[in-house]
Amino acid sequence: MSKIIVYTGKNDKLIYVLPATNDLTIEEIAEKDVPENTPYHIIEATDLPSDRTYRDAWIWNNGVVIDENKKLEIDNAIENKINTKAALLERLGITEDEARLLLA
Amino acid sequence: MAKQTFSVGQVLSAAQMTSLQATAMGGGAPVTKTASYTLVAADAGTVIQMNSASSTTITVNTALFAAGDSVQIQNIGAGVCTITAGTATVTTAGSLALSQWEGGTLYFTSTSASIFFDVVQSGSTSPLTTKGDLYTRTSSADARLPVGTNGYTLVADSAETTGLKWQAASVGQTYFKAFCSFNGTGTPAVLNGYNVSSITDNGTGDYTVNFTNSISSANYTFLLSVSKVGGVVSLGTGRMIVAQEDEIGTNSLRVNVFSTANALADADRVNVGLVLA
Repeated sequence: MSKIIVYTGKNDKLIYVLPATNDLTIEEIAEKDVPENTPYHIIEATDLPSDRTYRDAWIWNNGVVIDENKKLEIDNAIENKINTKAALLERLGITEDEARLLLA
Repeated sequence: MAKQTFSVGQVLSAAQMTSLQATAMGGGAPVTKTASYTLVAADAGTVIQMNSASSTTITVNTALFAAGDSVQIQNIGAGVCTITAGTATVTTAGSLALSQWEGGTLYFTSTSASIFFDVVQSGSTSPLTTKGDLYTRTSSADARLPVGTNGYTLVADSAETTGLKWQAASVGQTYFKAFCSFNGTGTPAVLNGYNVSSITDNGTGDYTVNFTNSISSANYTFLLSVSKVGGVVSLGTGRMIVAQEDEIGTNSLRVNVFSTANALADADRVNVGLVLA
């Protein structure tokens, strides 16, 4: 199991540090590469979600979890983008379903 | 037995014969000294044994010994005993400073010149303690250079006590200052790297490469590339990577990966290299 360092950045976004050398201990890497005076946690890399679709919704809450509000924002942003493009394509005579197929 | 002059018809006693035998075999009872001493003519053929906790000297002067005479010198004390050329010369290929349990033979080639043949006691003074240690020397004494980190190379450095030091292996004739390749999707993993301590994942398509040792200048050339699985790259899967101009530093470099729709996006593999002449 490889360990990583996680801490909370701006807007409560979870940031993680992935060690890249065996010459330093993970504590030494945390001391060096985590911003000063920032609390951090050391966890197993496999504790991160393997699906990064909602990477920007990851937060720390006694573990790495997906913030539902941020997840909704991401879903809405994706949906809005699809809708905007679909509307443009519709003006070209392409249906929304056809547009979704094209953009999938 | 000190050097003697025998006369014709002289009868030697058993004690004299025993002493001669001991001298011929390179031994004999030593003449112990506990303070600095200047050799005298009667020392020819004898063993002078220094035994002092403090530093001492044994001084060699001219007109006392003939060519072919010799004096064995031993130091059994904790203090260093140094054979010192007084008015006579003393030549050696070794050291005239005898630590405890060191010794040798002072051999005269004339009344005013001598050679000290020191006895090197194999292993008795080795500074080595650990597998991989190197036997080196400072300006004045033998020294141990501990084994280096795996993959490091030995380089000369006059600023070091032993004139040597271990350092990370040079790559590409020292021009590559750092590089790494890591997964941008799935379980995070660094595939390989040099002079990179960690990768910070700041979010989707947003990474900071942190250097183990600072780069001497931020004016390095960075080589960035990404890969994306899924067959032929299309409008939806294409990726491009750029460095953040205000975060090109000597300790780290922040890069962003974008989709062809100009939004931050993950790549399957991210490669970063730094070159500096």
